[in-house]
Amino acid sequence: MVGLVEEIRKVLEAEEEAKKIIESAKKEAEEIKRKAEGLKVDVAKEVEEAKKRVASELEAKMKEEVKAVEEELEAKVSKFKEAASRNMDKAVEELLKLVLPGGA
Amino acid sequence: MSSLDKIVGKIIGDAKEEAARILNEAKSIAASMEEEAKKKADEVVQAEVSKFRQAKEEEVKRAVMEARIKAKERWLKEREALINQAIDKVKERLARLVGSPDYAKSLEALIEEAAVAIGGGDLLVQLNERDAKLSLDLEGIAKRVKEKTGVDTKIQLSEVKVQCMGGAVVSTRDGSFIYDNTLESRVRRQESALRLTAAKILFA
Repeated sequence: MVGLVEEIRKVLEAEEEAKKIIESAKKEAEEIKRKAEGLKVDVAKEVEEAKKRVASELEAKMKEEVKAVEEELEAKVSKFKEAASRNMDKAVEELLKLVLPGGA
Repeated sequence: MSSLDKIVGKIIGDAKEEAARILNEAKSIAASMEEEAKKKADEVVQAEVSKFRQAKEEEVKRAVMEARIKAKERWLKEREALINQAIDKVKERLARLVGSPDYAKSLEALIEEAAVAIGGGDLLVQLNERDAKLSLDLEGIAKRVKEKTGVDTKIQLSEVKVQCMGGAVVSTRDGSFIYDNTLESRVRRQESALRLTAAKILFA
């Protein structure tokens, strides 16, 4: 009789232990879900960083394009200065013809 | 192992299995939630960055456009400076010309052109102090003006002097018609044509 009571007690203890294990797991699971719910991506920080990347990329693009415009201008100015220097005397002669009847 | 131990072991084992299942399920749900949160955040970031990029690209376009406008302005300025240089050289040449022996012929041509423009008649010619001392064939000019206009023409040097580099102011004696054919006036009158011609030749 004593043996049977002892066995029932051990089974009940085991069930109690099992209950605690499951309860503990449920609590831990709840904690995991709560943490997941509380997870917040720092959007502002990510936006800020992405903006910095975009700004830097476009800044470089702008500098490159402005430089190209300036280089194109320099080439053009240099080209027509050369042409003007080559043609100046001829131009002056032609202009004199316009200013003076019968030319200079 | 007694049968009691087996029962106890089974109870505890089942409990551990159930606990593991509960935890795995929770982790899986958490992972999905995390993924969803990241996805939403990513959408927000993409939308914000897209707007920012668009605005920034507009800025780039404006900056490049401004650079192009400035370049165009500088180009025009350089072009104008070269055209002005040509016109200044023309003025220098004219200043040299008025001191040369050939100038008298040019002055006669200027007087004739003005006299013809007026239509001939009784005309007075105003010159500057220096040119008034030149020996000019005013009669010859008058003859040629008559040939061109069909009007009897008399040309006389006026006592009045003009302040100019060279050239002449021709007028009818009564002053009703005046033709300013000084070199300065000719340059001024023909400035547009001079600039156009200069540009065409200089930058050919």
